[in-house]
This record gives sequence, structure tokens and C-alpha cells, in this order.
Amino acid sequence: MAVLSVLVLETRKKHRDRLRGKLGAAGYEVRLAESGPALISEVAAARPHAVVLDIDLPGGDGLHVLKAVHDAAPDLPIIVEAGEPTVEEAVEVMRRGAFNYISKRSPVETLLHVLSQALERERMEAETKEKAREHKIRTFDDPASLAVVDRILARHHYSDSMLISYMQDVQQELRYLPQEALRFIARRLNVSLPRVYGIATFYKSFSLKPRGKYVIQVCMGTACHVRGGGRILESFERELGVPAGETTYDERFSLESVRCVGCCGLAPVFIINGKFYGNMTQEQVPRILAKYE
Amino acid sequence: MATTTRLASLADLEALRKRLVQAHDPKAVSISICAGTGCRAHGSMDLFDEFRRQLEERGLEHVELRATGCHGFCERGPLVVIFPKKIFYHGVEVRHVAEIIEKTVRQGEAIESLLYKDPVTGEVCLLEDEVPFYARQQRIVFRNNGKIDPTSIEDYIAVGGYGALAKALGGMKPAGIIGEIKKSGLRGRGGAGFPTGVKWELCRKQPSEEKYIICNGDEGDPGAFMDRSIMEGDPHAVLEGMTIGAFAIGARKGFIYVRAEYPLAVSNLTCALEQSREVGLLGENILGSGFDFDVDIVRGAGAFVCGEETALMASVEGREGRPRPRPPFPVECGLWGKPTNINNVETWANVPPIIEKGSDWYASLGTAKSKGTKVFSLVGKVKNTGLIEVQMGTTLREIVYDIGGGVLKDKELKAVQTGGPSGGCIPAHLIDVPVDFEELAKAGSIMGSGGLIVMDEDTCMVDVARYFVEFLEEESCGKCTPCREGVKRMREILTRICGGEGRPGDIDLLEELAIAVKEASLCGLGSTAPNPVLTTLNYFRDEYEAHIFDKRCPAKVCKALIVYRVVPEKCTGCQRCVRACPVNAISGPRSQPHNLDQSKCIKCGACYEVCRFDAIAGDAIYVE
Amino acid sequence: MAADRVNIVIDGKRCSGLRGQTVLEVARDHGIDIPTLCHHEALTPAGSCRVCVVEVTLGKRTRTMASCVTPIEQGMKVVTDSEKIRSVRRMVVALLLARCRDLDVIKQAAKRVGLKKNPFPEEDGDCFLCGMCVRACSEIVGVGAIGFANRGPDSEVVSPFSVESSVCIGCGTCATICPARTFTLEKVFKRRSMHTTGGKRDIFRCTVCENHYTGA
Repeated sequence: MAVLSVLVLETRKKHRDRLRGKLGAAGYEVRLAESGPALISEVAAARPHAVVLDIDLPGGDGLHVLKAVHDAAPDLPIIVEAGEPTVEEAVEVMRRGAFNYISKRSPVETLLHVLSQALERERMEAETKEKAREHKIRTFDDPASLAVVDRILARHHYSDSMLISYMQDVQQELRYLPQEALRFIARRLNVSLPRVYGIATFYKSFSLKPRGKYVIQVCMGTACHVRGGGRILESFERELGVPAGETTYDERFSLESVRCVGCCGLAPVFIINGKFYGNMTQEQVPRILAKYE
Repeated sequence: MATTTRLASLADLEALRKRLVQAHDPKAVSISICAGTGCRAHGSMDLFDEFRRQLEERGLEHVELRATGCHGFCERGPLVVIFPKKIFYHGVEVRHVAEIIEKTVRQGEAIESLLYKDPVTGEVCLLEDEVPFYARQQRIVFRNNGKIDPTSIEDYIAVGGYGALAKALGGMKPAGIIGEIKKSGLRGRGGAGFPTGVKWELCRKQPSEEKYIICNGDEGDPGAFMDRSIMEGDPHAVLEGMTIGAFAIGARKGFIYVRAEYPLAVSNLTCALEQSREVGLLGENILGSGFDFDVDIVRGAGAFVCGEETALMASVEGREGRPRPRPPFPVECGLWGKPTNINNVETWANVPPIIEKGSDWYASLGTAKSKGTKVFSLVGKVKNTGLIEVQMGTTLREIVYDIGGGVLKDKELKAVQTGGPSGGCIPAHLIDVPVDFEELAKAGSIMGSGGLIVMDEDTCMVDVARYFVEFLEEESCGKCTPCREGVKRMREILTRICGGEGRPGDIDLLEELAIAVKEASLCGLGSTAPNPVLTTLNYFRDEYEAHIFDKRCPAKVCKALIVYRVVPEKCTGCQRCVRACPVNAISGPRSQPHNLDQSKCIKCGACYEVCRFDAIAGDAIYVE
Repeated sequence: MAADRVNIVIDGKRCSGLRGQTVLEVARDHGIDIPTLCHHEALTPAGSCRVCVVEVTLGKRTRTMASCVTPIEQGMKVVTDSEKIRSVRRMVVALLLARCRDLDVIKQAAKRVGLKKNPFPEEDGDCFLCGMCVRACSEIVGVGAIGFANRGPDSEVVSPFSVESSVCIGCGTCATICPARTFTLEKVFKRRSMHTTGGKRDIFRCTVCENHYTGA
């Protein structure tokens, strides 16, 4: 993996040197900017992976620089450091698009931790977008998606007792429950986000990750269990190279084990996108998968 | 079918029924195809389309073609019945359609090759009722399954549907209805067997203006699909039962909670709801009686614990399905704090026949304390799998051998598991137990919702216990300590026993833990979670001991304790296993006995499954 | 009003309480202590830890119930310390200790119920899911910034998506109430967002009780 670069603008020399040393030791490529304008042009010229910005620039310029950098590169994580942190300033900084706001007095480990969080988030977002482009999934960059969610909520007049039903419909439309959709639902219905998130993680039919084009559900009901359903599941795992509960890298197949689909007369059973396959043997698995390639 | 207008009175309903019955010629030929989930998986919808196409092609559009609910005999699907003679065909394929139309539909002749042949006596059965699988059954809940098109309210009305509702609204008082239900002895079919009439009365007595009723269709027990087939095959019966119940209790709003995994049930119920509303059997002023009632469908989202009533209510309210302590019970404080009566699908479906035919008739069926019939899903290692409905008190032997046709491949019966994960395993020596609430409890199991899973000598009882405990660990809501942590620890102990790492003392620890989980858990899921462990420990302790002390799995199921080996004398060198092996552990030239490399073998059993000549012998097993 | 008084017997002792009170409350009012781990006077009882189980006999039926959520009823007989109850409690505490071997509150409970040797392998969890923080955050603070996620043994208390909550006001109530000291203020601050804080707030530390609290 390429070395990750961090662009640092820090007014106090002592702290600057400390940052350079520690970040360098942690394996980052550290670049230093001399001033606000220099930082802005540096970002435009060679975009770093993250920015660490001292908010206490001479002349109170910090907030302007922050906004300028954020406007120029909205996805770029900017970590703001403050010598004298206050709540008001924190609010202001976060509103202007900073990734996080930390005190200069906090240990460098805090910065390193925040930095790794920022980079991880950026990496995951990039990956999701890339996959979405490949498979033409609507992402939440697409305002149409939120409109879809809102239309679903409107069907039952934004009643919070229909919450689970809304989430099922949203998942049906978008193939999973994106974080933004859940936040939107909580806001729109005026219910707490932990309740929405709790439901999304409590019920098994919800997925917070995009599911594959074909969803394979292998029945693990008792009848299927005693007739070898576990072996069917194992052979899917071998064929697809993913464990149950996961989606193949190409997002073609999601493999799930389900507890009894009520088709015990034909055990062992699995379902691919709603189509039932009964009385299965391991031998048939690759042949059936081939139909969905 | 004629379009039906709104029914404003009881007389309107009767007039419609008369019209429908008259319009139907009882001698006319009609074809009904099973469109239950099992038969659909066998391709019955393709069959349906093919029949339609060929009937049209031959100018036989007037022949009625019906896709009906589950007939029960899933093993032999797709099933086709030709009326009026009721000729019963099984295993019908698209290629048979032309012949059926020519011979049976046109000329009324039966095609022998498609008829059911009794594997024991060799006798050919022409009619459905002659097939031993059906002959021993008594169908009350399943009265219409297989006869009517579940998406047609006219079909339901034509066979007498909504007659019980008319009777209830027409002349009975709520207290009278409750009295009938109490006298009938109907007990909840969801598991615990609480008397239905008593529950209704408790709910009715609550002072609240607003009350709710719920139909629990969250059929979560693995191996059970009775409620699914009722909701799919006869949705109006459930709605009729609920409407009668709502009238008796004084509720104006009902909910049907359906499992996420049952899309066809949701769609057939939705269809039934729309039709009922359209004709005025739901909504305001039902049949001119002044009684208002409506029903909504709530789809589950995948949580077994939502079968527990307080969790189910939380889910209906749009929250996580975590149970809450009882008391207060739902009849006092249920949905949104209002009195709520919850019954399961089968219970509701029993209500219309009881009201129609009277409590004395119903109470005459069954045993002293368990009245009526019970639907079971007979599955596992049994020849005839499917759904059956028998009188309470029928013995397990009759069910497994007479209806089920005996154990698959005539192996030896080891146990019958009843009641799902909350139930237990009844050993073969208790096979003459009459099945009712009390007798099953005495044997250490429960009735549950009605899953009967037959287990043969090749089923490892420790593995079965582990299976259920693993299921429950995954389905525990995580709220209370004994269930969340205790079930997990039980699974750990059972897993190590199955993995050949069981320790002396594990059995005692399991027992002690099981009792604590049973006693201290918050809801029914936790307090019954140890049942599969306790019953298998009780009846099959020797299997546990074999795993722990001899490091041997008597049923040859637990992977860590078995090896697969080629028996050279038997191997014909057909190479099927060579191709089937996913890890290339088997080698050998054609026509030569093959070699199985133990170091590569992952014990998936694929070779064993394909070996037509039993060359890879599961019996060549030694203890590690 | 006499009609509102309910008489029950706890461990052979006649006790009386008001209708609506729980067995636990009445027992404690009469000096009978029952151990609890998820109970707090200021919060709605959850009945989740199950350490407070007692044997309750009403009519012919005797059942094991959680005393913190069982309302008293006329004629109830309660046994708080039978051999059966002791053994169930020991097992429940052993299970919690297996989840969180390092928590003082569980270790003390183990000592109290007489657990000598834990039959289960012990893990180093830092939260035993009593849910007091979740209840406090929604019932007392009224913001509902944290909640339960997942289910079964995977249950956990988190702010949604495990990122900072946008509604947390950083009051520290969760940290104050947490019997396991799982929610330390450092963690709260990590989870705290400053988006909605009205004015400047400083954190003080009480020199007597050592708890943190916020100033206006």
C-alpha cells in the first residue's frame, strides 16, 4: 500500500516538530505548509490523504482556511487542533466541515487515533462508491435515494409505529439500509436514532451492508438439519469462498443461513432470489450456481 | 367469477352464497392444483400455466382451473385433483398435462401411473381420501385447503365461509360466543395451550374502551409450517375467526403478524383483506350489524423471539422485539397499553367451525383435556412428509407409521422431536403416547405449535441438542442474563462434546446450568431453552457419555469423531466420488478401488452422498 | 386508604406495602435485602440481570420471579433465600463473571452469593449490559443518545453506528450511573458531539464523591 500523506499546518514550532516526528514514526509521509494560503494551494496541487490544521492562525484566519480547504476538497478529512479549546469554537469548526476537533494538549496518540479513523472512513467510502459505480447501485450521493425513502415514509403518513415496515420497504428498494437513510428516517419520524439503529441490528432480515445481486438463503430448519442442510451450506461456502452472512467480493452473491423457510417436506432446501430448490445434494450446488453466473 | 357487490346485511350474504352455489355445477369437471410452497418448489405454477394454455388450445376454457392452498402431502408434489370424482394425482409434471386433459378431463378416466400406490400393500388409490396419508386424518382447520382458491372470497363463501360470522352477528351475544368457545374446550395452538375462551373473557372484562386482537403468525419453530399453510391456503378462515373474536371481546382493530420468510402468506392475506373490505365483511358496520372491525398486516423482520407475545407486541409497535416481564399480561396491558388478546393462526382458524357446528360437536373430539384436532408438520426422517391434521389423542405410532408410512429407508426410529426449540425429544419407546397437551408434557416435551420431527438411528441426539441451543443462542434477544449468557455457555459445552473434547463433569454442569436458565429467564424463550438439552439428557444420556468418555459418536454424525474410508472390496472405481470431492482427497484410476487421503479429507460427506454402491462406507469408522 | 395496602409474607415475616410496589421495594422497606445488579431507584426497572430472583407463591402456584419487576399481590408468599434461589443466583452471577471477570461490581456480587469457583471460562468484557446508562440517558436526561444494538450474546450499548452521537450533551450521567465504570468520562467525550451544546460547559470533579458533573 502506498504511503499515506498528511499535510500539517502548525504555527508553534515545538509542536510542529513533535507532530512531524511522531507522524513520521507512525509511517505517514508528513508535509508541512507554511501558511493558510500555502496550505490551500498545496492541497490543490498535490492532494494529501488528510490535513492537520492549527486553528490559531495569526489574524484569526483559521476558520477561513478551514472553509476554503473543505470547499475545495469536500471529502478530504481535516483534523483541527486548538491550543485553548472551547465549545463554541468546536461547534464552529465542525460546522465548517472539520473531521474532528482536538486539543493540542491531548497526547499525540489521540491525534494518531483520529487520523486512522479518518483515513479508514475515507477508504471505506471510496470503496463503497467504487463498488456502487460498478454495479449501478444508487448511493446517497444521489438525491433521488432520499426521495425514495421519503416517499415510503409518506405512504403511511410518517407514523412511527410503522417504523419496521418502512425499513423493510427501504431495504427492498435499495437492497440494504444505508446509514444516511436510517438517519433520515429517524429525523423525519422524530424518533431517536438509537431506536432505528437498534431495530436495524436486532432483526435478522436487515442489512447495513449492500447485499449481492443474488441472495442465497440456505435453510437451517430442523428438518433440513437432520437431512444434511449444514453440508449444503458448507458446499456453498466452498464454492463462493465466503462464509454465511457475507457477500462475494463481486457483489454477485450473498450467502445467508435462515431458520426454516417452512418447506420442510422438501428438505434440504435453499432459496435463490425467491426461487425454491428442494431435495438438494451437495453435488447439485455448483450446477445450480452456474445458472446464476 | 361474478363481481360481488357490497353485502349490507346477513340476507345479502346468504343470497350471494345461494347464487354462487347455484352457478356451480357439482358435476362439472374442475382441476385443482396445489400451489402451496412445497408444490411450488416442485414447479406447480408451471404446471398451472401449462394446464391453462392447453385447456384454451383445446377450447376447454369452461373447465375450472384452481390454484389451491397446500394439500399437505408435500413429499409427493405437485399434487393435482380432478373434480367431481376427486381423482388424485401426485408427482405430476408438465409432460403429463396433455394426457390428463385428454383422458381424465375429457373422458373421466384415471391414469394409473399417476395414481398413488401404497408402497406396503401395492394397492392403487384412486381418490385422495383413499390414500393412507389422508385416510387417517380429520380435517377441520384444513377443511378448505385444497378445495378453494385462496385468492377468491367467492370460493370461500360458496363452501359456507362467513356463515359462522353471520351466525355470531345475527343472534349471538358476545358473552354467548365466549361461552361457546369455553365449552368447546379450545386451547391455544401456539404452544402453551391456555384455554382460548378464558383468555377472551379476561380481555372482554377489561374496562378499557379500546382493545386490540392479534393473530400470531410468527411461526418461528424450525420444522413447523402449519400456520404458513393456513394463511396461504385459507386466509379468510383466519379473518373470519378474528372478526368473531373481535366481536366477542369488543375490539375494533386487529393485527396479523406474519413472519418475514412467508411472502406468499402476506400476499394471500393482503388479497383476502382487500376483498373482505370491498364486500363489507371488514370495515364499518359489518353486514349491517353496527359492528366495526378492521385488520392490518404486520410483517416480521426476522426474529424468533417475536413469537413471544410481549416481544411480538413491541414489534407491532415498531420497536425491537425484546420481551418485557409479565405481569401485567397483554389482556390487561398490551398494545399501546391497551388490553390485547393474542391467539395464533390455527386457534383463530378453529373458531368459525366451532361457532357454526356448536361447542358440543367440537368437545366430542379429542381427549379429556385437549379437544378438537391439531395440525402437525410431519417432517424429518419419515417417508411421507407433509402437513397432517389429526384428532387430539392420536398416538405417535399412528402418526409416524400409519400416516407417515414409517421411517425413511426403513431405518430404526430413535426419537420424535416435538414443540420446536422449546420442546423435547420423545424416545422411540414412548411411541404409543397419545398426543395431547398433558401427555406430551408428561414425556418432558410440549405440544408447541406442532412440529413433529422424526429422527432415526443416524441422528445424533447430542448434535440435535447442540443444534437447538445454537438456534436459541442466535435468537436470544440478549436482555436477560440467563438466556443471553447461559444459552451461549450451554452451546459451548455441547460444541465441545460434539467436537470430542467433552470433559467428565460436563453433564452435571449442563444440568445445573439448564435448571438456572429455566428458572431465572425473563420470557418463554429462555425458560424453555434448556428443554432440548434436558430431554436428551434424560432419554439419551448414553449418547452423551459415548461422546465424552469413549470419544465416539454412535450415530456417526459428529465430524470430529468419525472418518470416511473407502472399502476396497466394494468400490467399483466409478470415479463419481473423485469428482464430487471438493478438496481432491480421493484419487484412483477408473475401475480401480479409490484412495481417500485422510489428511486432506474435510469430512463433508459429499463422497458418501454420491456413492451409489456404498463404497465409501460411513460404517468404517474408528474412534480417534 | 386501607384498600391500597397489600399484605404479603416475605421469608415468614408479615410485610405490607402499597398497591403497585414491587416485591423488591417492599422487602427492602422491611429490611430484607435482595441482591440486584440492574436496579436503580431512579429508573424504570428492567428485570434483566435476574440476580434478584425470589420464589413467589400465589395460590397453588410457586414460581421463580425477578423481585424488581413483580408487583405485590394480596396473599403473596415470598422466599428470598432458599437453597434453590441461592443456586440459581450463583449460576447467574457465574455467567456474568464469565463475561466480565475484571469488574469489581460482579466480583463483589460473586462473593456475596458465595460463588467460589467459576465453572465457565472467563472473558474480559467491560460491560455486563445492565442497561442503566441507556435508561438514564432516555428517562432522566431525555436525549436517548445511546441504545442497545445487535442481539443475544452480541448485544452491546453503543451510540448508533459507533460514531459520536449528534444529540449527546456530554452530561456524563451514563458515567455516573454505570456500576461497572464502563462508561468513563473519556469515553463519553469521545462520543460527545458539540453540535447542539447551548453554552459553554466545563466539567468539574467533586472532591468528596469523585464523580464528575457539568457546570452551566
